[in-house]
Amino acid sequence: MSENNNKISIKQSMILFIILFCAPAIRYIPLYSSARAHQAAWLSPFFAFVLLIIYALVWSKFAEKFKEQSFVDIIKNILGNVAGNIVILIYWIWITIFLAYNVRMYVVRIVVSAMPNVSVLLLCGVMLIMISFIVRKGIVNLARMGELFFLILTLIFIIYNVLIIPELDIYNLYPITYKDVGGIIKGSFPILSIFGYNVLILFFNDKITYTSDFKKVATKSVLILSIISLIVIIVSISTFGWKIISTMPVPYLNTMMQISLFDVVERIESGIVMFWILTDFILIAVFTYSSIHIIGKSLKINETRPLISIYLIFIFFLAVILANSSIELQTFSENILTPTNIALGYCLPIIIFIIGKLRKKV
Amino acid sequence: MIFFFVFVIIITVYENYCIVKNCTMDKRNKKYIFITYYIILILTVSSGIYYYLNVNGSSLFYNLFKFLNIHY
Repeated sequence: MSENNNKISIKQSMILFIILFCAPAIRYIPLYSSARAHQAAWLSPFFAFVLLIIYALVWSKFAEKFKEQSFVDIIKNILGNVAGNIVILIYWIWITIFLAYNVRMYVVRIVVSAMPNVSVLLLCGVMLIMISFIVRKGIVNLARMGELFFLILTLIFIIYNVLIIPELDIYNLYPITYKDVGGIIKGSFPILSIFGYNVLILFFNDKITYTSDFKKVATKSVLILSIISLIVIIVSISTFGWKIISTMPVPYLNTMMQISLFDVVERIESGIVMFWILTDFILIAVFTYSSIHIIGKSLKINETRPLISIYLIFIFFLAVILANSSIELQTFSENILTPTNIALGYCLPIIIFIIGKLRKKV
Repeated sequence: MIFFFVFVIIITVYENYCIVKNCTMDKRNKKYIFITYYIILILTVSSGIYYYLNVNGSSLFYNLFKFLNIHY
């Protein structure tokens, strides 16, 4: 870990990115992909992998050219001050709405899976108070926490996926024909959508020390994310079949409920609930840090800590008024969030890169 | 609900005190941070009032879907 001027290493930033990906991945990818690509959904990560590798190269170019500069500075440098500020404002609004959405989604998930009848206000409040303490400590502490959680999360993920193997029915993944190509492409949208979170890491690029090869680490991360997507889809669809999975609110959790150790120990899905809470915690903390960092960088404020509390109180109220049910959250996720994520997290950085190339700034 | 508004007032007074007393920040920084703080505070109070008036009413997403004609 880098101790240089309160900065984190490339590896730590990628660990944070992988954890960010995990929380929505296990909730959303099997549901969305199986509804679009049916039994061929498990091929979607392969298609997504190709697109993600292309993006990882663009990301590496940015990182190499604008070493230790925030994405805010990169946007202003390439697009100019006026257009740059408009794009940054759009990104900030997107991150704020997305943060509130994720807080609400975390609460809904906890209420559905572990704590029915618990007040939404209480769960939101407790989470955001914890987040405000962590974000105040800065990105280094967050990254260290991410490293620690990463080990626990990897263990949980591997153990649960090994335990579910006896329940898998490989015939649920077939047949596959050339007619599934369209579905496979559509099924890769959630992976691309969640990959859009890389922009958050780019926003605090100035807090990353470049001691190792960025391209190599980014490519490895893309590979890990594709493998996670592949495992999550295969496990869910081969256990229940795509028809049932596409109608379940939390398919991966329901799949893990099928684990049975020698027909003696059953219903051990609490580990997955813990997995969700840890990943959601890191996700909400990174979103908050990025959002506050954007304000600081764009207004050139060197001390942003006084804004954290009021910003999180705003997020609290926003999360509470966003939706009344999980159906509304799911509809928002499918109809609005997925295309917006792909546009802002995947397409817009590529467009900025092309403009930078044309203006000979990259 | 009143508890939350009291909480917001306490946090605001405390943070404003911290900003004013902070020696590491120059005048420009303090000005910008105050402006940003009060913009976020206005957003917070607006969303708080919206929540207070719509406790069992329609959510933001419901209104958005209605506007965009999205059925669910």
